[in-house]
Amino acid sequence: MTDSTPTLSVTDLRVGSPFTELLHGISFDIAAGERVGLIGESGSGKSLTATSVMGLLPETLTATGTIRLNGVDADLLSAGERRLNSLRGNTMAMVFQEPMTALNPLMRVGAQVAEIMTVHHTERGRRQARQRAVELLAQVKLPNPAEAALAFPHQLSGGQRQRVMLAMAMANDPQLLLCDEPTTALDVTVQAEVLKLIGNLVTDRGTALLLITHDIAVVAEVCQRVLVMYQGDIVEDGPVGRVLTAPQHPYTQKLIAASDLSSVDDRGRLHTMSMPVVSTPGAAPSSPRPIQADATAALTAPPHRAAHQCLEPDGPPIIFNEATGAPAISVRGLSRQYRRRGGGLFTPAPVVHGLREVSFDVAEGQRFGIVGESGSGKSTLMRILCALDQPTSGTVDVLGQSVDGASERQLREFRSEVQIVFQDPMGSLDPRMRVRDIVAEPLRQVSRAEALVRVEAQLAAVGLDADVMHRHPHQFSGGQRQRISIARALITRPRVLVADEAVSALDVSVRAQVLNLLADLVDEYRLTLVFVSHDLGVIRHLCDTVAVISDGRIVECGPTASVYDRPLHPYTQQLVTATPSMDELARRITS
Amino acid sequence: MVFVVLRRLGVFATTVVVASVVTFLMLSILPGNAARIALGVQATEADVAAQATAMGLDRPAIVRYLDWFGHVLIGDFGTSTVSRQAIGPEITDSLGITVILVLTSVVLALLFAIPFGILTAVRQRKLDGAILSGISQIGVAVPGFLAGMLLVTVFAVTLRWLPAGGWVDPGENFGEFTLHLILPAIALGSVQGAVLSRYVRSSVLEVMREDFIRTARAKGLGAGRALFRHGLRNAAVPVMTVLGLQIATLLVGAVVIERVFSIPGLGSLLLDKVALRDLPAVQGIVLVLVVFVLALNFLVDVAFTLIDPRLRSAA
Repeated sequence: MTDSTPTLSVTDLRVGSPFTELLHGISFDIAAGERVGLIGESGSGKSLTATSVMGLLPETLTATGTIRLNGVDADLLSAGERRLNSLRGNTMAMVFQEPMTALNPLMRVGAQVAEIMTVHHTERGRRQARQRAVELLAQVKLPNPAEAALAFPHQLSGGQRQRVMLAMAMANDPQLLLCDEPTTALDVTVQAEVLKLIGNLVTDRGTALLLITHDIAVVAEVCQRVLVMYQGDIVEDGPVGRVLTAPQHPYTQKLIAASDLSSVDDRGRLHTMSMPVVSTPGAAPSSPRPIQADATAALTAPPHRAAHQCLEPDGPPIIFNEATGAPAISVRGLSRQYRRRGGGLFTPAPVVHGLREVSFDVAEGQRFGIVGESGSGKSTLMRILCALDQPTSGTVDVLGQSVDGASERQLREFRSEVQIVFQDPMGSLDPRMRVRDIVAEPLRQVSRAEALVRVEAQLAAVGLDADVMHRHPHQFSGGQRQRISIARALITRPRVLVADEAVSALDVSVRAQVLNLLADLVDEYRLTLVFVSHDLGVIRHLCDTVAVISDGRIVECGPTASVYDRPLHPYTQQLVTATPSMDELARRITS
Repeated sequence: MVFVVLRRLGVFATTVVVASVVTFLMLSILPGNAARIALGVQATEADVAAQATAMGLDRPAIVRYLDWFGHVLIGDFGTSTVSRQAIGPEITDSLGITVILVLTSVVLALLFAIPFGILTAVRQRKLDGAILSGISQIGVAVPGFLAGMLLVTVFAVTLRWLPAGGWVDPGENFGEFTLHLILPAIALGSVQGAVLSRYVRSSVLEVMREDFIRTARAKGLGAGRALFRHGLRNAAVPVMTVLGLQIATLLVGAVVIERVFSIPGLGSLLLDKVALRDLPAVQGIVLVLVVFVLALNFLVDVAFTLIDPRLRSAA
């Protein structure tokens, strides 16, 4: 074999179900040791490509074309199951998206890593395989590898589980490593570490890499070349730097523009994709709404400008963003503790600190972002602000109503004035209700006829046609469902809108549209917005003020631009470095 | 781990006490005077009063309960008001028979259901899988007594291979005991097996869709090996729940099969005692059944903790 033989060669790969073709004859090569990214939105066929290579397509789909792996004489698509079994996990290996479910919950992780070696007889015996598993766990930088090997998956964090998956995939030194959204479910700082690890592992061993992701930043971090996929076709193929800075195909251009939350058009709006993207038949097109002049003015001059403050280690608690007059939200000394289930008969159950001594204000009309990673306490804070949970100590006033200790009867008014948009547009809408009933549900003491009129107007305001009223949630795409959630939240004319990771589950193109919509509505309805997210980029675009929350405390708070450009707290600095903007990415690659 | 089991044991003991109170109260508040019931309608008022004193019915309820439950704990279920004999031995004898019958049928059901369920799941999209699945569906629909009568007609009446009914104690003649056990156990087990195989099938189907099975395939394990090494233990959890419920139902539900095959089991005994209005005996039998069901739940819970490490850390 010569050097010019690619490790993986895919030619005219077509995948289809009996009814429709999903991949329309894609071709690409990956050279030995080359790191290639495959980007595209959900449903574009990225995962199908990888599962076709592994020969793990669902039974109902069939593939044609040829897939060749260097050193294997047979075409993988026509190879027998026995042959494929000897290649999977040995010559080619795969890491999946969900580290939560990709490991067997009933088996110790060391044994799961060892298994891949005993299956392929690359280690002589079980004992050697177990020993080698511990070494591999050390190579993926798991602390205490010997102990970690004896842990069950549920005892490890998401990032640690993904390291175990990597140790497993690299155990037999494969020629080709396929990673399907390996860091999507992880926190940004953990994501950065895992990506670095993947990059190092494949570079050290000269493994060819196919990295599937929807996130351009991830590709820029690890890959040399990138393939852009759109509706079952590869529309662009080139070096990462070139594709990022000078994309050729219109789709790529739009995708990159929409991903860039730091760049806006002359009206202060994010670039959206005008191309038809994953549209439901008969669904309403998203009509851009005209921005009112005074709304733009409000954007540039926030009603209240926060001081940029940072929590010193062992310093006194700070009241962040302290506002004069009557702030919309005022939180003082808020703590929330949980008692973990269990504990002994005589020892009390361990206490978990969800929130510790949190104090801040949100002024009327402010767009307040709360950024933090999983387990930081941001969701607990959001739940307390919405009176869905009660604090252990401290006071919470929202719109003059004291939330702590209030009864449900006292909160009746509050409920219509403070509304929430949740993360999962799939799970937060009742699948058995029609859209009109979902949106009308928060309305009280309103006649049916009037409710329908208001629902129709509200749906129009979020860019949905009136005919969607009679349909069910499953008939909509993720972005449309999130529009429905927003309509439901706004129908009571609330004064405070709380959004919990409201765009995290959406594709970049749809994300830009929903963010634009939210920004417009906040101006139009003069809402006070509390936007909770793990994504600094989204918050930077949407919010004028940001609070960074870590380990149950607000560690830093201030005007978004100021926090982003001059982060004071080490944790914020880490967060900012882990979320580079498009410009920075391009600079990093070209330098 | 040990702690979790001990705690479950504590819960078990508490529920047994609660169940005994409930059982006692239920039978105490039944209309009618227990002493009169014991003596029959022709008894004089004086006789009834004397009988009530003899049965201790004039004492306060709490004393009667403690007296009864205290004796039950040491295996004394009291004396039958009808036969004037101790109830304990009668219950243990018939309980032994029912337990043997039920356990044998459960083992038979499992021996059938596990391979059959896995097979129909794996071959789900194939013709044979669909046909077998249909057969098990029919099995679910057949009532146990009908299966019993069919079995008797074929194997006892026509072929004369096996006895049509009756019971032989295993200590007396083990060969005869086995022969008498076969038909009722199959009659009881076949229906349960059919039901169970449906659960095994759906559980295996669900597990085969799990991400970690895909991971196992990506590691180079064949489909079958991935299922056996990673799938079955995961699939066992929901099946165990159903199995526990089934055994509980069988303990009481075996009564129909016991009647068909004239076997002196606990269900038969309970029906006899109810017909005779032998209240102390009924009370004892009901308590034994309740304790058995609770014990089963306890065992199922312990089995869960053994299978699933996520439940081990003081859940």
